[in-house]
Amino acid sequence: MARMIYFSILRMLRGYSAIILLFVVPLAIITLLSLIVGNEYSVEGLSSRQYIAMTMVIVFQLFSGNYAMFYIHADLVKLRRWKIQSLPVSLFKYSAAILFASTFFSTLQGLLLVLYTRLLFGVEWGNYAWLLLIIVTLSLLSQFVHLTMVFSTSTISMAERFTEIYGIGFILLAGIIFPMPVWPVIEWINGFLNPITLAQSALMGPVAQIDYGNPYASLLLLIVQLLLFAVLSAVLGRRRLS
Amino acid sequence: MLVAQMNNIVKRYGSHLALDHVDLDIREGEIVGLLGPNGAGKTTLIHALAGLNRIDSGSIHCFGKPQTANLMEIKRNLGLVTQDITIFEDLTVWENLAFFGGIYGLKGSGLKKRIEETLEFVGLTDCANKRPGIFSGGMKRRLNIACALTHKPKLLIMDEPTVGIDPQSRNHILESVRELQRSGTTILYTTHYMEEVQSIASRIVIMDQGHVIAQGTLDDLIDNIQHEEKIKIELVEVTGQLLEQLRQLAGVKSVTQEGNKLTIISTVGSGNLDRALALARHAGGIRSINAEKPTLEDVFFTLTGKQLRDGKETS
Repeated sequence: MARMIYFSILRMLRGYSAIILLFVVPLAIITLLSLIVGNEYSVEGLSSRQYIAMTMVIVFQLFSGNYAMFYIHADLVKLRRWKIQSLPVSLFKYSAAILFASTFFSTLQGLLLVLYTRLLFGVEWGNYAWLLLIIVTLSLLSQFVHLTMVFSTSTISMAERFTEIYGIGFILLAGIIFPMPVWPVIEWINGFLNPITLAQSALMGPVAQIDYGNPYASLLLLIVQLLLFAVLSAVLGRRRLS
Repeated sequence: MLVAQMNNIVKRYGSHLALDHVDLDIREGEIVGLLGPNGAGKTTLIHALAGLNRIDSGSIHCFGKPQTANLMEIKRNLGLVTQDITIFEDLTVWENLAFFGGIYGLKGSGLKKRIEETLEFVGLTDCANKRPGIFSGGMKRRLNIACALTHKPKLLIMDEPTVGIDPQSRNHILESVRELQRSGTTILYTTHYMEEVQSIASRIVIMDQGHVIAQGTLDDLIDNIQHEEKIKIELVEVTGQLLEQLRQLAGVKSVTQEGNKLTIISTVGSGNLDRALALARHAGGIRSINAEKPTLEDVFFTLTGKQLRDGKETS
């Protein structure tokens, strides 16, 4: 198991395009916006740099399941399917190794962004154990969402489109790109379903001066989503791979 | 000793019967060449043997043990070389072998030694620290094979391992297969290339439409289908009278002319070679003569009604 995790992380380290998309791009956005906006403004109880850094870390974690999606697709669904199945290792164990590696790698990327913003812009992140818990939860949720997509669609490009719709859809609903109208349905989605607003509530709430809702309840809702997608991806994966 | 024994295997995909009561024994130390046109059931058979497919009925024993109850243990002694290249292009050659060897339980100095031996065996020692993305097709194929050899499998299953590579790499692979056999590995080898099977297989199994339709050594198979002989004569001059005389010989089935060359198909043992030569000599002289023994291709054609050429079947 440890060897499979080690080689999966090695593959991720050499997947330069994914590193650019999931690490370099948020790094660049955070840097650029932080320099342009400065730190004088206050956004929803946080300094502008705090708000930008926290939101970017949360948003990009939502796409971190891409690693697991592509690796599981190549190794267990398409290219290496028969080769991997011929090995004396259970598919569950193999999938778990990829999932663990992907979660570890994306969490590490998230923490590097945190460290970068702390050192360069002096961003206060609150309790680091709580922050780690939120990042790991978001990353795991993203892994299971991506796996659900790859096991429920016939092609990898279709799975990619659905994960993009999932991610970008929630970014839009969270009002990160432009403000959303105050409609009850959007309020309800952002209050109970949207992983970005839930993570914002859990992470920003304890740091900010204004009420974001109960951070514990928000994290709990994220964990419930995570568990639902874990069960769904396990059921679909079992059907797809047997 | 039997390395694998497949009895009465039936496998269906919906209404399509992919394997229809197939029996196959593989004995220790032999190279079994598995031949068949596309859709014959070769890959399904290989997958069933490697435990990748659930069969609908029948039984499979490997290394003397029933497959269903001992799948993981059996897999530890199997090596599968897939038709597709399934190496990791973002890992180096050494890391690829370390990954696969590690899954088979090798570690430490034992793993290092086996990787070195395997790299030496496939001729990739100099490339150990390179990533295979830059390799030629032949080198990737050799690495693909190496990944199935690190753990020293007792039974190596090779599914068309030479597809799309240059003759030099193909010869290297075929020589490696012979070398593996000499070192005691049992090999099940499928290919579309008749000459490969002809040159390396100690026993040939021919499949068509989910059935094993013939098996044996090359000579056994040829003897079983040898009802005809083919005589090719090149003459100084071909006359209509000579053609007529040849056609009237007892046992001659056909005489075809192409310029000054004649091809005579005759019943085997009819003694028509002597008679045809006498007539040809009398008619003006012979430039060359050639009596052909049936090839594996003739066997295949007789049994399946199809021809395999350059990896493609033609009816």
